[in-house]
Amino acid sequence: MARLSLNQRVQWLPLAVTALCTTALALLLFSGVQLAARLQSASSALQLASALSSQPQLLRSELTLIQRGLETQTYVGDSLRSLAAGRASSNHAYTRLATAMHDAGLATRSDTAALYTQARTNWQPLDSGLAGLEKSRSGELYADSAGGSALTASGTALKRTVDELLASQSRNTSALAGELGDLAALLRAAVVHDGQSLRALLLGGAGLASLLLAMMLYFALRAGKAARAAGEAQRQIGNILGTVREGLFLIARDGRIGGAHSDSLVALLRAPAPAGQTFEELLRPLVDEKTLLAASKFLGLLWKDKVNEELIESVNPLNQIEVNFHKTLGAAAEQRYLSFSFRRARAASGATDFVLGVVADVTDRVLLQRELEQLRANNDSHSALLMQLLQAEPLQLQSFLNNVEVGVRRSNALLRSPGIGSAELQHKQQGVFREMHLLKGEAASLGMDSFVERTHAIEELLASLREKSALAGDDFVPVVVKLDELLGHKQLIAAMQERVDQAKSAAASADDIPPEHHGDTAVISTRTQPAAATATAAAAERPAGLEQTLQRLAREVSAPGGRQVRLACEGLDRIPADYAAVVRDICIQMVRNAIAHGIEEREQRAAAGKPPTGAIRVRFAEASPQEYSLLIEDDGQGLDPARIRDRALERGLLDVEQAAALNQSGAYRMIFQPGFSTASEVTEHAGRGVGLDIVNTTVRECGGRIGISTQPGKYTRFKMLLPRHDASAPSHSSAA
Amino acid sequence: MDAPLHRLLVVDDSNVIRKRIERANELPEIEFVGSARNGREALELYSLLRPTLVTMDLTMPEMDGAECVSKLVQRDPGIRILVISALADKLTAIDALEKGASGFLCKPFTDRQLNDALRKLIGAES
Repeated sequence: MARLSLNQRVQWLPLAVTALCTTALALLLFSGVQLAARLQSASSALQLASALSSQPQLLRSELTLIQRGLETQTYVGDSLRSLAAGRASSNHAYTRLATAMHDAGLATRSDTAALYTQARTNWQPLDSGLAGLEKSRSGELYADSAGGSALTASGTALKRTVDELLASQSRNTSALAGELGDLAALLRAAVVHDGQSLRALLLGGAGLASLLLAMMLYFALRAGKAARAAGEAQRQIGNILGTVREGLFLIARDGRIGGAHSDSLVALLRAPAPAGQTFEELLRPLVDEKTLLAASKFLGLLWKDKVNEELIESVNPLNQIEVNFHKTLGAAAEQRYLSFSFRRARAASGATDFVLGVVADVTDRVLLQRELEQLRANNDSHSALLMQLLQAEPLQLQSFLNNVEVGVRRSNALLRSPGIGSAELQHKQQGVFREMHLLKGEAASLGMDSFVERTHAIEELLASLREKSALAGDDFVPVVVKLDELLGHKQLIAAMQERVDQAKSAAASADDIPPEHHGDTAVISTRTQPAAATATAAAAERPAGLEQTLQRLAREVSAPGGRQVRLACEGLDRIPADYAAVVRDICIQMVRNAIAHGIEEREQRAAAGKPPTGAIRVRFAEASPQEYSLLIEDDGQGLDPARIRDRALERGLLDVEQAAALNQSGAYRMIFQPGFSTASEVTEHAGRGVGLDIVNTTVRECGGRIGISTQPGKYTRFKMLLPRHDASAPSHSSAA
Repeated sequence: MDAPLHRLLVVDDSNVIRKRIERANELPEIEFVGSARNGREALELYSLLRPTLVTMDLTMPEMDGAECVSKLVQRDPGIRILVISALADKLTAIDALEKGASGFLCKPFTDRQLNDALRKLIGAES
């Protein structure tokens, strides 16, 4: 407030002083001019008075001359004419003197006025006497006689008049001369006084003018200094705005961006200079609608002085935004991260005047942060992997890793196979999907989360391809890359496993060996690991391994869905070696399916009067000398033909007519169709519509059959019959 | 201290957070007067307790925070409300601020952050 008034005063002061000085100077000059005029009049009055003061004496002299001339009868014509001229000029001079005195302002002064009147009064009889003289001169003055020249009658009359005039006016003329002398003296004094006044006035004027000049110089100097300072400040601001890396700009209350902003703003936003644009217009090409709306609202908050600025910075929606710049002439397309922050700028009155916006490119920071997070995640996942490895059974893990390798190779072979038609490409997609799905199931059962994630990611990718109307060969490139990464991961795990195994066996053998052999573990470990012992262990572990796998799978799949499951296995130790892999794959799929689609959630079970824990039974047996049977049964919700029909319609597996014609067993068969799933959400364990079609394909490839029996709300039972390849060979159970 | 006390009402559906705010407040100018479990309760308590300061959770049953903010501000335009919420939805928080809240504190917060926020909230009027 004080600063503002000071500013105002500084601006008004020179103006006021200059105006004052100029007025004073004008007044001074005006009175100077008046004084000069008065002086002029006074001096001409003085001149006239001086001239007049000698006039009576002159007239008297002329009269005396005439008197003498008349006495001596000489020629007096010239004197008479000059007397007349003297009278006329005197009369004229009196009139002019009156005028001049009036102009000089002396007519009203009592002393001068009195003297003038006195002189005029004294002049009057002389004047009239002289006038009479002029009149009386009517004829020849002299007449020549015998005795010489003598005065004529008119000459005598003239002489009488002259004598009378001289006699009567002698006192008068001297008084008149005295009065006019006094008047002249007074007038001289007045002229001197006026002259002094004028000099003083001129001196004052000159002083005032110099003062004015000095002042103007001073203010011009100051203005120049201020202008230089302002120019310097402007240059410095320009330097700052040109150098600063952040984009600085001002937003006015109407949302418009001010003309002054840092040069970086244009570079950061890759947009033309935004002056005159609204902030919303500036932001629109950079962010989505929702962010734009939030940003506008946030900016609105900044104008509300009640809202504490520091307490709302955390809701700034532009704190960190991802911006995708399109390819332009000067720059390639790229993704940057920008951070906007805002600051209220208050005017002197305290209300928010404008908002200062600062935008910075934080891409490096964001990427570094991501890298660090990635690094941390990698470290975490490496330790997690190690934990997985330590927990997994070596043989299961080995077989899984082999399966991964085989699955990836098969997928790659499928992708490389000839055929670029849309249907063939869809076929490839389905084939790879099945491979990945199998691997994912197995990984989940082993608790190998790193593989679950990777195979799931490939599935996602393939699923997105499935939805594409026209597939091209190039669409599979990312799949190939991910498959390669999966294989790389497998190799990493294999290497880690080898190390873990070495460590384990070293530790194990260290326990066995006599103390004196410590320190030579490498030799000892080879010696104390006979191949036969390993083989025995493997044979003993295999069947128990499948049950363990299924138990673990059951736990993992049921945990997130809020289900409880009890899995009972039977006869898994009697699976012959040639069916081990097949039965394993089938069991993994079927158990997962049973939990994801069959067993209800606890509340649902309770509502149906069932025990909260669902039961799943897996039984492998020799059904006949020609066939094995594999039974998988759950006490879940059973199959619902109507729901299956709706789902098939929805998935486009059936048209309306086919759906209407679908009978119960037809509906059950639908669930083996590729792409069918009744789970509404895709999770890692259900919803892709792959699973039962794999089982179906696998069983058929073995030459087997699948049968379904189900009762809605009660149970679902799948029974698979698998032909014995060597009906006469002894069963595996006897070997185990 | 002669300065008029700020009367604090805590609105949050979590008992833990209510207690925590009550205990964490260490500013002598602020007197805790009560707590409410939802917006409806907050409005009832407002009439009884006449708080000048409110901390407000946004997602609550019965009446959500944003609606409660706008109703409280309608009754008392001078009331200062600190919205406390997780940052999941900035737009919701901005909405509440638009409706008249004076500040925002992000969950989770430390006692120190809470006190700082309260200090800024009451400092804003002088």
